[in-house]
Order: sequence, then structure tokens, then C-alpha cells
Amino acid sequence: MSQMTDSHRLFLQAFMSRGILDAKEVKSLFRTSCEKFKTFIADNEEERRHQLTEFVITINNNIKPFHMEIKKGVSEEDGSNYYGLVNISESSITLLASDFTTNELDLFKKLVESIVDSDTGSVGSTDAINLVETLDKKMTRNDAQELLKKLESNKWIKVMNGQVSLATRAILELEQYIFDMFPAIATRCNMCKKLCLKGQSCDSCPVRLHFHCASKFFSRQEVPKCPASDCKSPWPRALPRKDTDQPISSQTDASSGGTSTQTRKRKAKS
Amino acid sequence: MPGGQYLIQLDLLFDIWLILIIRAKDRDGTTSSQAAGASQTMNQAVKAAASMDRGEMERKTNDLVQYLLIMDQKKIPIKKQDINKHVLKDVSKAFPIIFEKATERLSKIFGVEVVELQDKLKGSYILVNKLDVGEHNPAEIWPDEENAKTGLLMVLLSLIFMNGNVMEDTQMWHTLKKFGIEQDHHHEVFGDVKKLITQEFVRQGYIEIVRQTNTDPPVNEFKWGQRAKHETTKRKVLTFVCQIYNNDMEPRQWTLQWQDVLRSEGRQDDVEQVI
Repeated sequence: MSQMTDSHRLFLQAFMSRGILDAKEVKSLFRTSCEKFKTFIADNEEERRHQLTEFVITINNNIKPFHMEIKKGVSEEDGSNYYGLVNISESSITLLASDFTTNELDLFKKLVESIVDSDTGSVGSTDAINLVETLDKKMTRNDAQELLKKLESNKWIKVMNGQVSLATRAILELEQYIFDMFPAIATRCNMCKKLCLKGQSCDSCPVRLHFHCASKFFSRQEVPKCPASDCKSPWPRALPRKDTDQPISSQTDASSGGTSTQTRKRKAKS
Repeated sequence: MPGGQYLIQLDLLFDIWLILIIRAKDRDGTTSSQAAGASQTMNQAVKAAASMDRGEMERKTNDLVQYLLIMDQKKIPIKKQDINKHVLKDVSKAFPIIFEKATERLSKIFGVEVVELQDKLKGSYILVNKLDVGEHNPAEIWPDEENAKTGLLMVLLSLIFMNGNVMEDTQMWHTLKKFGIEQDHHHEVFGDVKKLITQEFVRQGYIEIVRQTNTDPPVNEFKWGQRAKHETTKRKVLTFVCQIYNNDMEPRQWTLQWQDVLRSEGRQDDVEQVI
């Protein structure tokens, strides 16, 4: 197993303090980590990418015994890549637990549940705060408001247009937890097979697709049809832009607003 | 933690023996009975460790590494008692051996050092970053909110240091007012700033508040906490102060503080030259 150098350690420390970074931040962090300790860094873009991959593999091999991993995740908003440091011990939320009190954690769990249970992958912020009523121990609405702010600044949740949804960091870290806890209502995207909270649904069968997965899939079809082989019903939803390299966030943000026509009651067996 | 780092390569048992001897020597007035007590603890630890199989030893060591990392995020000193209670449990007798192994892994993989606190906080540990990234922390490493708190902390440590390593609370708050920080006012970035300074920073070990009862009325004095002494140096703080002065000042121009820096670095001879 390759040994860690100071460059690896600095890179890892940044992940430990920030939790999640987007692809651009990772590249910049890689450069800084190498330059700080005079580690060779390739000029050639292709070589540098290869070097970065090796670098992350070395770190992951070294931190595996501690149930940690730097893992790639895809934003449900726009399909862009993120890298997060996650805890891989079974369905635990230990990493998250450290920053929060047990009561705060309970509220967060309730929030996760109601987001997973929603049709749009989001709940209104007032509803989120009202979850304090379901807690065993008391929490004021002000404290709940503060907690949401903290969760947002730590990139666990996303708050937009008064709607609270799980951010990429939470999905990366909690995907397994969500499948374990809510097997009846958690669905996978038909294309990428990962957890799908925000996306489009088929009218006639339980199939769901992430916005970015739908846009990739339907870009190859003249008339959009449900991807399930035993369904093939027409897919009457407005499609996100087809050039998936471009950010499609403006469209998906609008559609995740709650009243959208793109999502509808899921055929959840709950 | 004297010697700890240099011994890591040696054989485990020998290792721990040496550390114990060095620690015993380090403490003034250590009696032979204390040393005997320590060696007895050690014997028990070796016995306890020997009764664990390899897999269990690995698991406990890794669990301890993970526990220390998680607990350190709150920046509150971690108690030996809690380690035994939450991680080691039935093998807590083997504490010294498992702890030493975990310390070595934290250093090799994460670049952090485990430091035991002294005096009242003995039996508590903190993690200290060992990576020397130079005077400027790269902006992309730590999140903004943390950076703001670190900034405030640097100001506090600077004030204390420039004032001769101790500052009365009334004077502290009076000075902070010039930075727009008032103890009874909600601060835009820090929120309840009084709580942050007198509770959070104190609990984390950055600041120590000592109550002087020999005056009337009693006054509270601000000092550097133990974590501050491990995470930064007087030289770094003085350099920081000079930067605030737009680099118009050189560290050595602050004669008293410069002497303090040199003394803290064990350069007594140079101190006399300054005078």
C-alpha cells in the first residue's frame, strides 16, 4: 500500500473539515496540497487527472480501516460531480453525529424521513420547522431555524424558494441509511440505480429518473418513452435541456419548487 | 509529550517502557513509588494486550482512531474515561498500548498529533495539526465560518500576548469594542459573542479565564489556554500582530514581546543580546 505524504495529509484534512467539494475545488485543492510540500505535479491535464486518481486511491486505502472513504457523488440538481468524505460503516450517521446534539440529530432524522416521503424530494421550510412538535424532547422553533441554517452551511441540506431538500453531501453519506430505514418509500433512479429523491416519474409505473439522467437518456430518443421494458408508456414531461454538459439547474430548480407539473404523486407502496 | 514521537519505530513494549521512564523523570519530585505504580499499570496493560487476538487489537485501535477524530471535531478535550467507556470497554486495561498504536496511525495517516493536557486537565487529550503549511493557511482548506472564528481567536491571543500574557476582562472587552465586538450585543457573524469567547473557546482549551479573588471586587483574567500553546507559537502571534500594522513593524521592534518569543523558543542567550 502506498504511504501517505504530507500532501496527502493536507488534502485529507481539507476533506475532513469541509466534508464535500465540487470537482473544481478538488482540482485546486490537489494543486495547493502538492505545491505546499513540493510534490511533483504534471503539467499535462491528462496526466494530472491520472495523478489525482492515484492520490485519492492512496488516501482511500489508508483510511479504509477507519470506515472512511472519499467518494464521488452526483448532484440531483444538475448532475454535476462532487467528492465527499463519507463514513462507510453500516447505516451509521456517526460523522454527522459529532457536530450535533442528539436532539438536533433526531430532528434531522425526522426531516430526512419527510423529505424521502415527499413527492418532490423536498418539504416546505415551515413544515420542516414544525417537525419540532414530533420530537420527544423539547426544541423551540427558533432553535430549529438555527439548526436548518447550520445544516445548510455545512452543506447537508439545500434551502431554495422556501423548500428544504437533501444536498449531495447528505445523499452521499446517508444513501444506505435511507434505504435501510425507509425500504418502502425510498426509490432508485432507473438509469443510474442510485437513490432518487428529486426527479421525474412515469405515469403508469413506479419508474423514476433523476433530471440529469432523464435528460441524458431521452436525448437519444425521438419520442420519449418510459425506460422500463414492461412499460414503455409515453413520457409526457418537459425534458431538461439535452446538452447535459451545460448546467441545467435553472430548469430543475424551477421544477423542484413544489407545484411543478414534472413530478407527481409517486406510486409508493407506503 | 517528550520523546513520544521518536520512539514510535521501536518495538512496542520497549517503546512504552521508555515513555514511562521519560515521563517519570520529567515530572519534578517523582517518587519511586509513583514509578512503581506506573510500571504496574504497564504490566497489566501488557498482560491485557497479550490476551487480545490480533484482529481484536486491530479493531479496537481503528475504532479508537475513528473515535478521536470524531470527538475532535467539537474541539473539546477528550477524556481518557470516555475512551474507556465508549471504545475500549472490557479491554480498557490495555489502554496504554492501544492508545500508543492509535496515536501512531493518527500521525502517519492524518498528520495530527495527540497531546495530553496538563494540570487540572490531565487525563484529557487534544489533537493538534502537525502539518506545517507556513504562515498563510491556504483558503481552500478550512471553511469560511471557521476562518472567522479563527480570526477572532487570533485577535484575542494577540491581545493577551501583547499585554504580557495576561489581560483583565474589563480591559479585554473595552479593547474588543473597537473591533465592533460587545459582550451584550448580538454579533452579525459570531452571534452570542460573549458565549463564544467565555464558554466555547474556554471549553475548547484556547482561552483560560482565571478568577483573581485577592482583589476587591474579584477580577477575571484572560490567559492562553493549553490548546493555544500547542496549536500556535508566540512567534506566529507576534508576526500576525505586525501584519495588522501593515507590516510597518518588525517583530524585533517589540522588545519585550520579542524577548518573550526568544525565551519561549529556549534561546536565552539571544534574549540577553536584545537587552
